[in-house]
Amino acid sequence: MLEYCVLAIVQGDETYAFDLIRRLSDAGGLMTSEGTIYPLLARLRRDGMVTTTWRESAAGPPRRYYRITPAGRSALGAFTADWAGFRDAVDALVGTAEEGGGL
Amino acid sequence: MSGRSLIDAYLAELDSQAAQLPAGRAHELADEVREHIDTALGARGTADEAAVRNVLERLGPPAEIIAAEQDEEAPPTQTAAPPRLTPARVAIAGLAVIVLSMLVVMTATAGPGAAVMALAFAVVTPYVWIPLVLALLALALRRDRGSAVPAADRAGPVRRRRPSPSLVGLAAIVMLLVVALLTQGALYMGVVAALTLPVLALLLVVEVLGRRSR
Repeated sequence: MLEYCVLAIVQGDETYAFDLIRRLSDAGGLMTSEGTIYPLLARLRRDGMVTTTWRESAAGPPRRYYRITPAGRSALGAFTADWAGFRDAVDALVGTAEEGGGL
Repeated sequence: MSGRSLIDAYLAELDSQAAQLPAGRAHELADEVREHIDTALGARGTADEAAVRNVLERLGPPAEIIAAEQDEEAPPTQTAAPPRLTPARVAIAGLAVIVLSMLVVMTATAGPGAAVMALAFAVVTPYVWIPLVLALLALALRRDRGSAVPAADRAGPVRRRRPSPSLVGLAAIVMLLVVALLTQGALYMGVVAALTLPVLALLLVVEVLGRRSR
């Protein structure tokens, strides 16, 4: 599921890994170990979901910027469609369970 | 322990665990993590011990990163296994090329009427469709080759090791050429050879692909 959050972020604008991690952390509760994002990014590169460009940074070494590809966009689109239904189903079930527990 | 030596210890542990990864990816991952640490510390403008500990804790233990790397690597190698150039696709493409090239050549040399005649001839004459059927049969046999190999080890009464299916197809074509030569003469054999040449080439490609994938 984290991969789709990554795709959603790089869909917005070109992002480098550290910035991406900061945004995921800021969203809260999505990541336990920040380091595991690098294996995930490597797979997204291999699967052609993202492309990368090396750009000079103002300070320090060049940074690798991530951008979504058409394949990534369609994967994200499919997930977004499924996710709405999945979320509603979980909401309905968990919501019912909580109400039942309250009675 | 100073901040710097904490980082060195962390990177050394990552390095030793990354030995299980493909060499290129191990280097790349090490670079990515090193850059992450530098960027994180750079943003705070400090490299004191508390700051370093915080950055490394957020990164997570090296073992966890390597485990994630191995998890991510496993599925793509499985999905990459079926080659794009499957024997069945080669067969279909080969058949399309045979029919199209026949039509084009005959139309150019002898007019469209002759092209239709040639196509009809190709469909009717057993010298062409028998090798084609054999070629497709060979492809079908190749498909369950994977299950046939361990089955050969079983103590079955009539189980024998099959020769390569495409080699069987090639042998069948050669046999047909010999039959054509003996019963109809050299000219007819020449015609059959010309007509079955694409099938011959197709089977050769299948054989080569099969040897490569083994």
